[in-house]
Amino acid sequence: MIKQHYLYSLLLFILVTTAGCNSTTVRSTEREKIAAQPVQIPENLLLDVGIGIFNPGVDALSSEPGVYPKIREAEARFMPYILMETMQNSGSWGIVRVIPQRQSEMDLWVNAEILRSDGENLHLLVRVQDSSGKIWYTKKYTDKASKYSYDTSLPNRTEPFQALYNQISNDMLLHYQQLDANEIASIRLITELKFAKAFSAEAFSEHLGIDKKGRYFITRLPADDDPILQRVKQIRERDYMFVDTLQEYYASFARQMQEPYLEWRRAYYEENKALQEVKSQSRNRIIGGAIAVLAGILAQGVDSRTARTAGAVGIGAGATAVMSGLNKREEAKVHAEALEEISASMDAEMEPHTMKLEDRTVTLSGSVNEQYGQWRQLLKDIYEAETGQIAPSPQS
Amino acid sequence: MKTFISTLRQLLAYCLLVLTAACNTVPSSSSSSSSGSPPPGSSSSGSSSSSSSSSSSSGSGQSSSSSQGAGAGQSSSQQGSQPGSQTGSEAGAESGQAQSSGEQSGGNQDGKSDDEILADALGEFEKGRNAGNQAAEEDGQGSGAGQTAGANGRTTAGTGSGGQSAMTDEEKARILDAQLSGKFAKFDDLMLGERDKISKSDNESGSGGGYGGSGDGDGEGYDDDPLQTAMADQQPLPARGSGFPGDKIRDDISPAPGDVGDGQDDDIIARQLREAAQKEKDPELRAKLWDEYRKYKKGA
Repeated sequence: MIKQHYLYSLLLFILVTTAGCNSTTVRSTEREKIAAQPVQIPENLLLDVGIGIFNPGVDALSSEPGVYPKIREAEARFMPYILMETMQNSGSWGIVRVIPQRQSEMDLWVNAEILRSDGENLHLLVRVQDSSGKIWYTKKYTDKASKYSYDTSLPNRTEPFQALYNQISNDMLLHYQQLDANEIASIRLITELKFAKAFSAEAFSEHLGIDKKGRYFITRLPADDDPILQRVKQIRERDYMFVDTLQEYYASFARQMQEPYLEWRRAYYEENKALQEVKSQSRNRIIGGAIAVLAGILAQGVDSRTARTAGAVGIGAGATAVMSGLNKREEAKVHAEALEEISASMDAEMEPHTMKLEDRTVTLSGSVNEQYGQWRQLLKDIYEAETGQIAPSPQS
Repeated sequence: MKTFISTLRQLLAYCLLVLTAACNTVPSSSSSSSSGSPPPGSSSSGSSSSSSSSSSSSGSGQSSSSSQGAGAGQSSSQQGSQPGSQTGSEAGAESGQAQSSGEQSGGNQDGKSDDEILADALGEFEKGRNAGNQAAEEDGQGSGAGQTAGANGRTTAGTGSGGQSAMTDEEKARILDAQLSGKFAKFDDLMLGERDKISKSDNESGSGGGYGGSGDGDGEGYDDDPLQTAMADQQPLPARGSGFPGDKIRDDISPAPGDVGDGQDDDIIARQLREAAQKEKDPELRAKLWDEYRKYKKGA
């Protein structure tokens, strides 16, 4: 009697849960907001930030499921731009620029690797370092997109992972606020001297030293009226101009990529959610169905007619659940194939834009570097003429 | 009067003889370098006088005479052991003239006017003084021979004659500075050209729109919910000035145009655009920055 009651309860439980089983996802709509300094920072205490192209985190020939190399290459150039805009708009920094390959000298450098990126998740490993070589911190950032980010009914959509970029900016600001004015001034001066030394090693070779940890420190201050220094300042203005021109490239790239990339993420997000849902249902139904079948088989061995009837129902229901689960699995395949198709087309769409950006950046950088080389030689000649000394060969 | 003139003539002849004797004691090699620039302040005699004086020292080697041009900065290429060996048409003319005059005067002084005799004597005197200076230079420096450094009076950097070397270095630095400025101008053109290409490319592709999710950062915490209007165009972000120690913030700020307002309601980006435009020295760039400022304010 107790055994029959137990079997009835078990069968009832399995049938109910299998029929009503679905997965739920809880999403929080709270997002990290960007923080700013309560008081405007004086210009001489602002730090300039350079953001490098992100490491895509995948090999170009990677065939890992769910990873699309061309999209990652494009993201590696798109995401720094979004971070740049976020930090620039915070009002807590000097100039913030995307600079590939550290072609210029900046007070702070931000480098990141994309660990995971689909429409739903974004994981970044971020490292922040100042011009002296000191690493401020290395941290992994993760974020899940809200479904509202892809809701086309909303009038103004924002970057789905804006909260992550806000968090990066806020963390950097927190670290900055722990520095005193002398430390900030030292970072700025080291940046200036590194730049000057890059163009006139003869005149500025004795102004910076390197300690055992490989960090720069100031050994001499330059004279205010140093004529070579004045020329280096003129060069620095041109360098700013070059970096600003590079920003135009990345801005143009971001504008072209923005809409298709958002659509891809939305489609990927929805298909991915559906896929997960279906997989979960499939799994639950198959499991539930198998248990029901098993329980029904067991019930057949019981003497009670009621139990045997219930057992037969359980077998039937269980089999139905298993079949339903298998159908869901087929449905999941459809979604997975849809994801592949969407991503492949996106891959193809992004590649020419990325290649064009690279070509223009490399071409312009090549032209500029060639000119920089000529300027260095001229500065060397001027130094020799003005000082009457033969400048030593700059050490690399 | 005639007695006086004859006395003067004898006196000059005597001086001539003395000088000739003095010249004969000077080594002939010294003449090669003395053919360069005459010492500052030295007067240059006419070519004929030097030419005639050259003939009188033919005994000491015609190289000295032929190389001693007019004493007015003749090129050192005139030097040569062979009579008439010169380079340059001027040197040739001078040497020829020298030789002819020398021959003419090398015979005797009969038939020459008093003026000519006086001129010849003065030329000889000049020649002798140049030879003496050259000997002094050689004794002092030991590098005179072969130093045919320019009839234009410039010395090389290695001679150690300080004043002229510094001027040369200054001139050199100025020339290099001008070259550097020229290259800066070319670079500026390159950057402006690139930016024009980008803006044209964007206009053709019709790309636009942007996220507004980062919100407006004006120094206060703000809400980044999706309520911001997307910017139609990305604005150029200005660079801050360099910050070498003791470098004051540039105070050469140009006034704002009358149509842009006082900027009291500017957000971070507008403020940076305004500051960059006011500090920009290049008028063309400044105008472009003001245009971008107006576009941004209109869009915002």
